[in-house]
Amino acid sequence: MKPGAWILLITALLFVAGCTGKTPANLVPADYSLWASTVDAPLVYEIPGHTMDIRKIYINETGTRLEVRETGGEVFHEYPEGTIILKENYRAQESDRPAMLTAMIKARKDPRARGGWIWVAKDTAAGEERIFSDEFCFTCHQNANEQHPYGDGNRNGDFRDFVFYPWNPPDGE
Amino acid sequence: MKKPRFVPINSKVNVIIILALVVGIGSISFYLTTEITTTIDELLADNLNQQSEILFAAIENFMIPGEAKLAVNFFETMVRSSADYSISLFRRNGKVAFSDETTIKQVIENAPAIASMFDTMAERITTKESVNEAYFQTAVGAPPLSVFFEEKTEDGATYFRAYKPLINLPKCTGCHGTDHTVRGVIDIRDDISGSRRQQLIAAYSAGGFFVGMVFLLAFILTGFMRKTVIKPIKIVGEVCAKVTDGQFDQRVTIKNNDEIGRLGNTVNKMVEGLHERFELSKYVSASTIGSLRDSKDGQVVSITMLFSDIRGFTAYSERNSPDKVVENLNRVLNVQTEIILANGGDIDKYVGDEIVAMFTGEDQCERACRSAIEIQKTFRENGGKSFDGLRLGVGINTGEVILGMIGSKKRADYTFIGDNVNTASRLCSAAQPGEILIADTTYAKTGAIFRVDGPFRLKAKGKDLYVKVYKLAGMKE
Ligand code: HEC
Repeated sequence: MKPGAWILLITALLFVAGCTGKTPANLVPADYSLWASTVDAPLVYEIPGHTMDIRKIYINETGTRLEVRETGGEVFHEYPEGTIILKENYRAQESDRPAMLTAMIKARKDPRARGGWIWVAKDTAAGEERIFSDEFCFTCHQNANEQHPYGDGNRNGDFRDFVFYPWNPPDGE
Repeated sequence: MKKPRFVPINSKVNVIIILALVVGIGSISFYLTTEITTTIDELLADNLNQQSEILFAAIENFMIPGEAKLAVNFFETMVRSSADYSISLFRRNGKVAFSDETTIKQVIENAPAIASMFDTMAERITTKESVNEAYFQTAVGAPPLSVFFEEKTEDGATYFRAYKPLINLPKCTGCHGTDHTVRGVIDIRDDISGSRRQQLIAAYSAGGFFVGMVFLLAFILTGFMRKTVIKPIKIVGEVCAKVTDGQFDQRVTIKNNDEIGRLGNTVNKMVEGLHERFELSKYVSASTIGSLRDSKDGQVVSITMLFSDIRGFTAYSERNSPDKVVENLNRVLNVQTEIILANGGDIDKYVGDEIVAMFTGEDQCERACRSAIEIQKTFRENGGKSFDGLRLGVGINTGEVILGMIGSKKRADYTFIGDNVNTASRLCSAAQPGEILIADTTYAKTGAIFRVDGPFRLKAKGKDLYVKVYKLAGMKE
């Protein structure tokens, strides 16, 4: 084979390998710890789904511009495009580092989004992100839009945009 | 080098046609069949997925705290009403849901307030479905995932099967507790054996149709090829073969008005041309044809020339009708030609009533003289009446001449020139009717065989030069 052909073949193989390999999602930002939090203290009660013992929730600056509207007696929450709400999930026995990060990213037009959010989980040890486009995250978070047992419980059944702990501006703002 | 094996066009054409058909129709049928079967499969799968999604949404929404009975009723109705699908619900441990009181007991423990509802619910559904362990583990795994797979049972049936995990939603946790993520798995199964059978039948009939098509088309195409190409070519070939054997009356009869028809016409024209040339070649000396073949340049050779012409022919042609003149002239030339050729001579040309012939090779002098004697003898027979009283004078000379293609580009003859040619001509014209004059060069080689008179002296034309000549009288006894 001519050297040109070799180069072509190798590039083609690399290209194919690149296509079939996992797409590194990289949706979860690293500097989230500087963000505001939607909870006053770490959450420690048991919930299904996240299966971790301690949770802390962060919201990026865009998310704090949450819009709350009221139409016909119904309250609607709407987070602006680009909002990232991120939850650190710790195991009780190793509280120095979260074992998993779960995040909701507002991207209405993204084909991977459900309910306007991209649902992503990051295994911090492996550094791997995984997007959930099926029911799993989405169906459970549908419960945030009706009465539920967490936080303020959403007693009035507001549309909370799938968020259990909505952003509340700190007092004095 | 080995001669390549003869392969008839017929076989080649057959092979090519069948190959083309197999590749063409085959790939299309294969493509269509696979495409259709995968499309059908996809449709079935999509359908199943949709069904399971609807079911999923329904069950999820029926699961209102304290209203489990509603969900169970709904589920029972679904299971009974759908003939196409079999639907089951499993607990996350793989056991059929609602089949015993484990869940109820758990719920009563978690939410004693609603315990009174469940007194009539125990052991109502008893489906005997079993789970496919590997896929089921995916469905209840972390994270729980919907799975879709194809399953073949021992009795030969094929199923599409979907597992859809039911998540332990926040609203479920009140009764079911928070210690698990997956509550159970909806299992929906579609028997696709019938559709698969149909697909198989469709594939086989497409295959059968394909084979039939290939044969039919091959049959038609080869028939067509045979009629339009192979048969006409065979005819052309046969005609060519016959023409090669000298049968110039053969003609190609192809009625096709196409390239091959034209080929036939061209061959016919060619045969006509060949025929003409062949006829012509009778009048062209053998050495002309021979030299045309190897196209030698001019060269000096020693030959014996025989000139013969009719005495008093001009007067004769004035006395007689043109028809008679031509007829008799042809007879005269013909009989001489035959004698000359029989003696191994070549006719160089006919010039009016004159014949110019040459003899080459061994005993050329003897053969020339013999020809002359035979010619004169023929003309003496019947008291000279056979040729309407016409008499010939013959002159023979042996010597060096220049042989070559002489003439213009358009028309050239392979002939000879030189003084010796003039001498021969001179001898011919000097000969009295019935006489044969031979030059001494010819005599020198034949004196032992033939009787001669002479020598005489003859003045060469246009020269103050005399040549020695002899009158050839006949064979020595
Ligand atoms: C079984 C239910 C359930 C499932 C499944 C689930 N979550 Fe949650 N999630 C919750 C609850 C409840 C909270 C409230 C905070 C808490 O208690 O940890 C929450 C909180 C969150 C938050 C913080 C924002 C909020 O709603 O307050 C994010 C981000 C989040 N989940 C992401 C995810 C992602 C990503 C997935 C899928 C990989 C997922 N969740 C699956 C129940 C669930």
